Amino acid sequence: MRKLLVFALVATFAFGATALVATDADARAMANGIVGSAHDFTNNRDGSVALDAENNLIPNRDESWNYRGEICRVCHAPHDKGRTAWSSWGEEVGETGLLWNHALSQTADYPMYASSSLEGEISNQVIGKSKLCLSCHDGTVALNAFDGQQDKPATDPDAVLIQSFSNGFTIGPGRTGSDNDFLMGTHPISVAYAAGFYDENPKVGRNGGLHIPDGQVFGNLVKMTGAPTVDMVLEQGMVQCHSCHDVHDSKDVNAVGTRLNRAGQGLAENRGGDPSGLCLSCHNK
Amino acid sequence: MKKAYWNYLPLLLICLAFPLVASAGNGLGIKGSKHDFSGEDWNNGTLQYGGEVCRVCHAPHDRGLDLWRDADVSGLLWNHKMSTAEYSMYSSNSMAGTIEDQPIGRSKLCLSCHDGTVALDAFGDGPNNGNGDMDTALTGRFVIGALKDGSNLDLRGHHPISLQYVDNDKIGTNGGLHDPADQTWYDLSSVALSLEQGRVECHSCHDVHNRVSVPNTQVLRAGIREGQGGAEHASLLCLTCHNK
Repeated sequence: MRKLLVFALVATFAFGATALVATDADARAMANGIVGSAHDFTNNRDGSVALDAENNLIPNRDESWNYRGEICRVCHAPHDKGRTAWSSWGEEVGETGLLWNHALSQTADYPMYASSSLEGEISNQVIGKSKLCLSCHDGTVALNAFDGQQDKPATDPDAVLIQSFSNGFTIGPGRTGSDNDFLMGTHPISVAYAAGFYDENPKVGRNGGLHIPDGQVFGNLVKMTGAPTVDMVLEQGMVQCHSCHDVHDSKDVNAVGTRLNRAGQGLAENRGGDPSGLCLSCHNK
Repeated sequence: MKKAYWNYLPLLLICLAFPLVASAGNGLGIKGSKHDFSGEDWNNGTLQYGGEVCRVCHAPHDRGLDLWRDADVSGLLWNHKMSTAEYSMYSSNSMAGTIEDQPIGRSKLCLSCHDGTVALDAFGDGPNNGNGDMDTALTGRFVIGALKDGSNLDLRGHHPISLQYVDNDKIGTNGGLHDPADQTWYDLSSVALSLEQGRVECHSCHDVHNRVSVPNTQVLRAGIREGQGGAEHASLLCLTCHNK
């Protein structure tokens, strides 16, 4: 028992406040940078521990599938480690660069979002950085399919993201066990906001429409002092996944308690303290 | 002489305060407006998703996907349970535009609360799972049609929605309708943009997000009494489209 206590204390100090905060099982954002965040896949990344059936201390977050124990490498690698992945789908990834190192989803036919009130043009298929997010988050590719291992079967069946009510890691109605590629009605991505010429989208600059993205700050202004403005998170003028979600959990960018959102969702402090702040950062309602 | 200026101080304060009072909760965006439910008890029932503004009607990702499939209408990330009611549609022997058999498009979304048959807290997939508590359903003057015969479902005589405006024989004629492409509301926003695929729907007259609406109206896009919203004459709302 004493050993257990000592280990817990050491682990707590070693990983600082992160370990204290990281009690929520679904790894909500901590806005402390990628180290220790939901996207840090080093084994036992936050230092939190649990007991197994024999009362042995084990890492709470087993990421042993990440064979080299690096953070960035699961998605990015310089030089030629991910060359196969890059060249296989270079047409899509090449334009985005980012030293991409993870196998892409072979799903090429996502039913895209549509709306009778949409003024910005939406791409026929997912493009740009959203395609990179989907290489894990459509639930069809194993997390460990990186570093040229994309043709290998997942070494851990749990390494493909799943979705449940409390652990919503895949997009789409994955809770019903299929249709993870269904973006219609739910995911307005690869849609033009404005690429500097705001008359392209008649809603921009209008009351009831969309704010002009240049210099437009997200959510709670005081809290998000270091955060980028809306124009900086568009990709060639398009709204993509990363426009709302700061996937690297950058310090002072995310609203604590949200899904890496750049602004708050609810009034409660652990939900950003800013009711619908994320939506209203762009929508001038 | 200098001291006399202070006599005007109360007047000055009143002048400064008046615009704040007159515009409170209107025309300032959805926060603090009639459609901001973030502080309502029924919107705080779930720890995970309570207390938001937009979520009662809209949510990204798949939280309300089944609700959206029911709605099968106009996108908008719809997240509220729809009404299954059938309505008696508006009719008139002077109408030149065609009217749908049932409300369609975004009016259908408004009716998912404003026909009084669906609970306000029937949204998302939280514990209420799109069912909610009917104690929260709208009553009285918040229900359209209620003034007519109490059935809530009768749009005849008072709510001409899902009604074609564009390509209409009355457009461009005196006594008929203005061309919507040429017309602007009081805030200079386009009448054409407030139509839905050329049709008049609820949101054509009511700005439900309260951003461009006139204070002290039912979130209308123009005043209906003289002076209201700066209107130079009464019935500005009607006369923005009707060339009378």
